[in-house]
Amino acid sequence: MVLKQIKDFLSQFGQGFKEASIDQIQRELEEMENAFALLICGSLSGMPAPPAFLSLCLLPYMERELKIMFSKTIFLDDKLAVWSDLVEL
Amino acid sequence: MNKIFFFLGKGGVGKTTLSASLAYYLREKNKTVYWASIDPAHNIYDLLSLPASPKVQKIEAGLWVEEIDVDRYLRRFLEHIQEKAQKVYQYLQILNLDKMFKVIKYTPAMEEYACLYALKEVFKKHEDKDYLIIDTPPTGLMLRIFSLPFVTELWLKELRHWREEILKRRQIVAHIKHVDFGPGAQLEFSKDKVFNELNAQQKDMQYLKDVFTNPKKTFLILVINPDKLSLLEGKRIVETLNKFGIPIKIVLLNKTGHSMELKELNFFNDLPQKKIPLFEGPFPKQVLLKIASLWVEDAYL
Ligand SMILES: Nc1ncnc2c1ncn2[C@@H]1O[C@H](COP(=O)(O)OP(=O)(O)OP(=O)(O)O)[C@@H](O)[C@H]1O
Ligand SMILES: [Mg+2]
Repeated sequence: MVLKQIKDFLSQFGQGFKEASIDQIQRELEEMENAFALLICGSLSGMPAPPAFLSLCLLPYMERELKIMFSKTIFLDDKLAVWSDLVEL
Repeated sequence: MNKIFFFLGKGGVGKTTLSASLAYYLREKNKTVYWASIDPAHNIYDLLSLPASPKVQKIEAGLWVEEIDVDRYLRRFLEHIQEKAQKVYQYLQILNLDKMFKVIKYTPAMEEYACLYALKEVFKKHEDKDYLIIDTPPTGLMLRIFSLPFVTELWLKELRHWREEILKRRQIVAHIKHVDFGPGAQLEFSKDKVFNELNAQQKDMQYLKDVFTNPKKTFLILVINPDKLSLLEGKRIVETLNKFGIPIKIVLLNKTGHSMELKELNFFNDLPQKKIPLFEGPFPKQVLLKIASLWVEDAYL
């Protein structure tokens, strides 16, 4: 009985530990995806960045990254509109 | 494997005239020739006294001519991107392609990419011709075009590395936790469209680098005149291309007269050279063939 309690405790403890580190990786992942999108969009808004040609080639495939980027931007109003203004499209 | 000749040099030195001489020479040898200009000033048709045309024209048996319309390639590229993007981003429907074209056309390096993209298509499309002759745009633009595959490759390497790290983390997270990464998001390297696109671009850049640096396939012909400015520009061309390992096959000293005591000429001493004197115009086919006989060697062919 006691043994089982200890076992359960340990396994819960391990679970909590695993989740903490996976949450950390997940946060890191989102930061990286955000940075990737910022980098790709940089050339479209005049920041030092990879050639615009490359950015354009990648743009159709970056839905998730762009969403993360927009959700992290400091602009709280219509983010897409802000971005469109930025690239003057 | 066919061969590609590029004619480089300052404006007015004789690039178009000398590329014409090579085109006719090769035709005399019964070779098939595709002769194109990526010069926005478009002067092959002037030399041939033909009306300009956006299409490839067969001007005689075995000889095709094209004034490559770089804007058309850029537009096609943008249309292609827009089509793909619209499938993913509904809100892009409001974007106006004409407006987008105008803005993007003046984005740094866009014209260079359009030229490079055009060249790649042309190389592939005319693989069946024995020789491709390319009359180049102004020096600055052409040097940037040559450098692009090298520069772009550095970016691609960096972006690929980033992407790998992202995908690795996605895999770890997905392995332990149920997460919806959203529409289109992939875990596998082979399914991730960004990763695939980076790979495809890298393949294209590698192909262009191979073409530009293969001394058995690609011959760069530098045309200079006995005047200081064309010599300085020629020097800049040699030095820039050297950095990328792109060799110059031959230097053509065009329009030479008697006064050839320019110290700037010494720079070219280590490169194979041929002298072509001043001719009295005009330049019909017979004269062009005579000019070719002064410089073309069967060893290049
Ligand atoms: N060997 C030569 N003798 C006399 N005239 C020449 C010679 N080579 C070229 N020309 C003349 O020089 C002028 C410029 O030549 P060409 O158009 O071939 O130069 P280009 O380098 O193509 O110029 P651009 O940079 O403007 O395209 C033309 O009028 C041409 O007839
Ligand atoms: Mg010309």
